[in-house]
Amino acid sequence: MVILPHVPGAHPAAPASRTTRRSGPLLGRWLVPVGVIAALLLAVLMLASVSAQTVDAPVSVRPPEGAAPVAPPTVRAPGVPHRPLGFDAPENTLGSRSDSDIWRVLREGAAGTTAAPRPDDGMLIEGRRPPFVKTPRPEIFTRPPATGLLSDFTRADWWSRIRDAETGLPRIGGYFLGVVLAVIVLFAFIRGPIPVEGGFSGRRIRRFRLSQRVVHWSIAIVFVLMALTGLTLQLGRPFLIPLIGKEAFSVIATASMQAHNLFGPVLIVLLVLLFVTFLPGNFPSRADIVWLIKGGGFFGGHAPAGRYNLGEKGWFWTATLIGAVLGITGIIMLFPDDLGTRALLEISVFLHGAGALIVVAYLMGHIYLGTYGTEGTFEGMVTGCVDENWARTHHELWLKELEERGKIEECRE
Amino acid sequence: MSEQGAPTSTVSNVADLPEEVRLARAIDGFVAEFGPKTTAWLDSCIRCGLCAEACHFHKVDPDPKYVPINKIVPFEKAWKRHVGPVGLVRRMLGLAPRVTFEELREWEELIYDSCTMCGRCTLVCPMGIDIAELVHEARHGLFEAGLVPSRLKELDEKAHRLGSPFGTAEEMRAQVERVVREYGIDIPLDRDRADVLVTVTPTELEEKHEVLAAMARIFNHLGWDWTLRSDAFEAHNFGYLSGDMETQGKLTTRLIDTAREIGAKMLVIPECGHAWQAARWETWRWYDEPLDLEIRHVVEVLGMAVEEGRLRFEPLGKSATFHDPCQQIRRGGLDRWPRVIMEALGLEVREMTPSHETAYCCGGGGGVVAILRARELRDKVFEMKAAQFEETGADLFLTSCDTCQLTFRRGAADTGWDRQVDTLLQIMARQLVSDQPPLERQAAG
Amino acid sequence: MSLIELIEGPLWTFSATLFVIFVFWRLISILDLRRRGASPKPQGSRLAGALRALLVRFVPRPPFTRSGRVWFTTVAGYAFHLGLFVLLLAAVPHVEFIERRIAALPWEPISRTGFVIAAEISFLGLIMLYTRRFVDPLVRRINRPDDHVASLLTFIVMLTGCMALGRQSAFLRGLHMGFVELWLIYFPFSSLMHTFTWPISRLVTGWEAGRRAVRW
Repeated sequence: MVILPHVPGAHPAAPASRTTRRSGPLLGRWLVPVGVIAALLLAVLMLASVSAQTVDAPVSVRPPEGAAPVAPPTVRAPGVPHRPLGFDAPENTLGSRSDSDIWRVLREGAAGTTAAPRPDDGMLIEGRRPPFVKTPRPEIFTRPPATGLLSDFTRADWWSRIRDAETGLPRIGGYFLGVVLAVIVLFAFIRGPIPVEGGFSGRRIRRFRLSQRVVHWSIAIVFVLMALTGLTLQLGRPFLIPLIGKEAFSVIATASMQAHNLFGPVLIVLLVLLFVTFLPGNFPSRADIVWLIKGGGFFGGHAPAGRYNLGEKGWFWTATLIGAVLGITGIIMLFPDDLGTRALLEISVFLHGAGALIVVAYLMGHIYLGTYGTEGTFEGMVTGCVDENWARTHHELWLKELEERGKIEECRE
Repeated sequence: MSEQGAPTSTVSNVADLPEEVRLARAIDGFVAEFGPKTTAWLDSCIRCGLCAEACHFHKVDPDPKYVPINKIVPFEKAWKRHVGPVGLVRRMLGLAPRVTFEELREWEELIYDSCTMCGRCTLVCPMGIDIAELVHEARHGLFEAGLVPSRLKELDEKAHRLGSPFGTAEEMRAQVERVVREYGIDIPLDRDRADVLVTVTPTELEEKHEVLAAMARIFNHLGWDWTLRSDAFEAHNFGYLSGDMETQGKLTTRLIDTAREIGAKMLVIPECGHAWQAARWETWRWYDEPLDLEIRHVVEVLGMAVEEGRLRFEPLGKSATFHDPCQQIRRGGLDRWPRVIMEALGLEVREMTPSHETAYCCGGGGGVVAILRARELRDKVFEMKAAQFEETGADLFLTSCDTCQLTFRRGAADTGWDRQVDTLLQIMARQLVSDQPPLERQAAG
Repeated sequence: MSLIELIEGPLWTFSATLFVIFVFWRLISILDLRRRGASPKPQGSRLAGALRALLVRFVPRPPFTRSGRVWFTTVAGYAFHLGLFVLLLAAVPHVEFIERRIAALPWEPISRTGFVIAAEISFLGLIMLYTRRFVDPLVRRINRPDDHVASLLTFIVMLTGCMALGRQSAFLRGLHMGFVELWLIYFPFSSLMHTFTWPISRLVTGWEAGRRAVRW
């Protein structure tokens, strides 16, 4: 069954007879039929068994046939008969009672208990001052609800105000990121890509080790994933629901939440690796001040910098420190029952949301500068090598130091 | 069994053929090599790139093209496209691009110049893919397309025409007679019946006459019923190196068939690596029935004789390190014998790091030493090997392979390294204790 | 028939059947044990060599243990694969699915915490290995389109699976299933086949090493 290429016109000098013995086609005469028959037989068997099972197996979640019946619900009024499934229960509700059943039970006065034993469990969401407000304000319950964008976050209902889709962080955060994006776009239009002074020299020198690049791009993937899912969760209500409706948003939101929860710890591990691999060169130095005074070269002119400039150092420390805050608060939010008290959770939700906005804003700037914003930067992080003139433009002091110590490693590829 | 009367190869005119015909010949050559092993190996590769960690060429030149698995890419492509029914489906799904002639031309350098088929990459592969064997298979296709480095091709053609890159039977007889005269030693030549058929390398005939003389003396001393045959003396197999399966078959079957014709029970392969590979481990390509012939390496038989106490040497009282020839040690299973011999020679063995089956190749095996344009790359490998040798601080740098020795000599000449590389047999020849006078060149008549 | 019914019914059957047929077909073509010429006389135990190769290659061997690349690939590779096996065979929805559609399993599904940890380890390994395909010049050079497609498809299957973890939406479940089906169809024609061929490859090579009495 080996298929030989067909060459138009016979080979004039095809090997006439070789001393070589052909190792023979892969599937011999007897193997083809046997193989085909065996495979087809298997396929038929599988089809039969699978289709037999799919015909009567409904698509929705349902216990396997023959499994023990689901235990009856604990909240059950006397005299209400247990009804078998005869209606479309919402997905993911494993019970065998409909909503109307449950409400009927409640109306008939069934007693319920809560499984949460702590003292403030009985408290409603509202009613606690933020921890940074010392004196209670007397007008707490008398002031009219905030109508403006910035509501009064010192009130006892601060948390729910912060979470408010119309006036709280979701909307403010959305505007904030919008403004950052607008600034970046404006800068891109005005300044364009920052060129390499003197053009590319063609001599490429090593800037990032393989381990740094692997960690960088791994964290990039996870970070963007976390940002997208996190922003969906935080900004979705004011910005996405009006666009796509609640039904679609609920699907995206549950997907985002699951992904966000799952990738969070992955990001924490990667942040630790990031810290370890990128720490050298990220300590503040006097050169940073000069760089800052010269505007980082963003508005023309040359701003000398060491291995990393102040902007990059800022990004490194922002990512590390706010990353740590996001990691810690995130873990608290992942295990609310075990790790969180109500107050801690409220603060965590706030810090997580606010911190994320800062990192995402910085991330947008980083992505812009790393790709379109400066010539020759992107390949540096992909190949680990940068052009010598790129290094002179953006990290002159680093290049000089390498030259002085004879540590320049040239890339040959 | 081989068809020895087959018309001489079409090798010389392949380069004049249209490219599509050469491409078809290459694919034909690839397909001839496809088998269950190829499929098991190629199906398992996930491109982790760890083979690069093993390759001496990649180590001395970090260019990514030297990653071992990269060297067989056209072969793999052809396999994807042409291997049975799954290949058919792959083609229908568009998952099997065609190999182009340009690609083959580009890969000639990778498959010949930068691979010695040393098999070190085989050791590191987590999937157990034998890349060295795949390269050998891939060379078949490239050879069929006439994409062989010129010098290798010349040697292959000469071997095909004359049976040896050394020369004709008459030249061989003349050389042997010279050795007989020079050393006053008895060399049984062209006997019709003998128990042992001994083969030699071209270098032994050309210059290392003392090795030939020592072998003769040792075999005589051991009381063997042996012979050299002018119609089957050549152990080198340039067919194996160039991917010319026709020549490889011709050379292998000639040795084995001659041995059987004269009723030999043993065929002895000289100090050469790929000769051992071709004669010992590649016979399945040409013989359907198990061979009633023992194929042994000279290092192996001499090592055994040493162990039996039948050979004695004047102790050297020096230290030595041994370069493990890949085809004998890593891929040949002769690991033990060189050490046995060195001990018998009274040498303190200082192993290089790495050594034994993980030793680095000399850089010239697999025909690379014959490829002129590979010189720069080879010399870099030589520098690495020389450094490994220096590190041991040993007095002597020994090996047991002509090709390795030649590679080291050329490397030493190119880089101005002033150390000598000897083969085990050369040292044995000098130190052999025998009832006869010591082996010295007598005034040639 | 709605899309979700199509995906969970006929499409699943189709892709699973295709998967089984072609995987078997390929394995049969490898396990073709017809003799090709007489094997050279062995110098050592072929079986021992084969078993040695099969087992020894689970961990890096010296002197390659000095290479960072070797360790990275090994550790990340194990993280990804072991995590994936746990997800594949012991996640609650998978166990339910397998028991409903294919066969009863002798083990209990893992807890949610166990699932999450396995998923995280697996993702960490996969992402770092996949990243390396782009940033390591030598791996970038040898990568085939197939390697990228296979890695990406596996990543998407895992990602959509995790997104459907809430088990609240038929859409997300269908999305996951759809990608699984794509993956199953792609599988036999790609380097994903290494799932089944690695032991064969090791055994074949080890067999030859045993014949030559060398430690490969």
